[in-house]
Amino acid sequence: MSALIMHVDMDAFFASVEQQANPALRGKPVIIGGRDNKYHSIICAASYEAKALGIKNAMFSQEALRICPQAIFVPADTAKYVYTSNQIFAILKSYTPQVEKFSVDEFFLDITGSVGLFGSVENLAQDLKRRIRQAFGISCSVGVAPTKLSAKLMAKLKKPDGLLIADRAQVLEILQDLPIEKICGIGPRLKKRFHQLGILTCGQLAQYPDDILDDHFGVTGLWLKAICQVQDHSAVEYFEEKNTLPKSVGHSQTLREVTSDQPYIRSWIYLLAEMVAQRLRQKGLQGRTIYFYASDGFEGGYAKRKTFHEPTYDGQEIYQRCLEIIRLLGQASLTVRVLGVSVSNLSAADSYYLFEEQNKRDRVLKAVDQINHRFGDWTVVPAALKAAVY
Amino acid sequence: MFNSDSRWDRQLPSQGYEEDMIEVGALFKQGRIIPKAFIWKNRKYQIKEMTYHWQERRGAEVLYYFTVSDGVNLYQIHLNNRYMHWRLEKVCPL
Repeated sequence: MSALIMHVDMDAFFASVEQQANPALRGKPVIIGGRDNKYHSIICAASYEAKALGIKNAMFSQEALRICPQAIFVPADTAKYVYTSNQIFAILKSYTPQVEKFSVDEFFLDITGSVGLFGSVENLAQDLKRRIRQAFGISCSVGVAPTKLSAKLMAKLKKPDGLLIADRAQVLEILQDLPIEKICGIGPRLKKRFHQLGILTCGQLAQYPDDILDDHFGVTGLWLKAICQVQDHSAVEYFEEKNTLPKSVGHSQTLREVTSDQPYIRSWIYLLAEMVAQRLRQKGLQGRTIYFYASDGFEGGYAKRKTFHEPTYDGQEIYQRCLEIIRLLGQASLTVRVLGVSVSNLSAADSYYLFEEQNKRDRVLKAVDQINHRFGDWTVVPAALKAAVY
Repeated sequence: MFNSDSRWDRQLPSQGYEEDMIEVGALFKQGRIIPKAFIWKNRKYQIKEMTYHWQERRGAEVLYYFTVSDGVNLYQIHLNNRYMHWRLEKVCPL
């Protein structure tokens, strides 16, 4: 029996939640963006009514409001979405223990072993859709196929509120004439390069010789070919796999506007470093490799990773390492809109230090974590974060 | 692995929010809280529909949020489990 992977994709998730919460928004073009300023934000979700008017996710809010002045801007309320996402995750866990939270609004389920309990794949999928709708009044699209990426594609083809179940032969048939850009991971640049080779559809990519793909695209080309042949068998990574360390922990932030204000930028880098560090400590991890990314939002940005000798879970240290990376990039003065910091090369945290200074610092971090855990995030913050947080 | 729990904007002040204390009559049923009516500024509002609910942890406190309507306006209210008080956060017309 081949694997049965289900992909559950919430339809216009943030916008649907807001429309459900506020009946006055239903049936109207709704766009969700940052809480700072509706004219200097990135659209993180748009309702289907807004999408029908040409508004897309990740568009600048100014552009979205120019395209559709009647669109209703709603500041994102992350707590609402995170809670809903966690509750949906709990519902999904009642169908199989093997559930992967791929993002806040996307989940993979390996239902190979549990489908028998529900009679059929369709019964399981319909029941799951009904329960989510009953609990939150919002819809999802479901795709079922032998691999994760083909399941994701099936869900995407039936949006909104759809269900598509396909075996390998059916997926291959669907892929035959499907434009390659429909595959997750193929953006405009990659699409152009495939087109230059005469590869327009997934069916063509599935037949393309390995050596030529390898020459042009390396392992990515072969991986994409495997997807088009429904042979990408990456496993559903469910939470209970405690022994599996995450590959990296990172955060990024789009600022209100492009800025060259160096103290402001540095305080944001520090805030991102603190956020990453806090999550590392929560997970009992530390990391050696720091990745820093900055972009003005228009042209390609600056990005560099560097591996350090000592692992860390200290935000101040991660921040200092980011500054070192900036120096290595030769950027004395940054002009940025988007910033990102991540830590990889992770290992279990080990907080025994040779020098007392480091032990003291470690005790401070633990005390701060305890205070913030009790009284709420960012109750105690480094003073250097003032410009970013307040 | 994606972690959706991490967020930095918890403490940003929300604009245009009310922060009035209210008295709420609620039904606690099978682990669920169902607000039925509330008194705000000496006036009673009968809740006709609860459109959404969610929770947010703030340190040791958990805030139970509800958006409810009386048929005229939409209200965002919350119960703080530490102080056991209800607050009205937001009002907008339906």
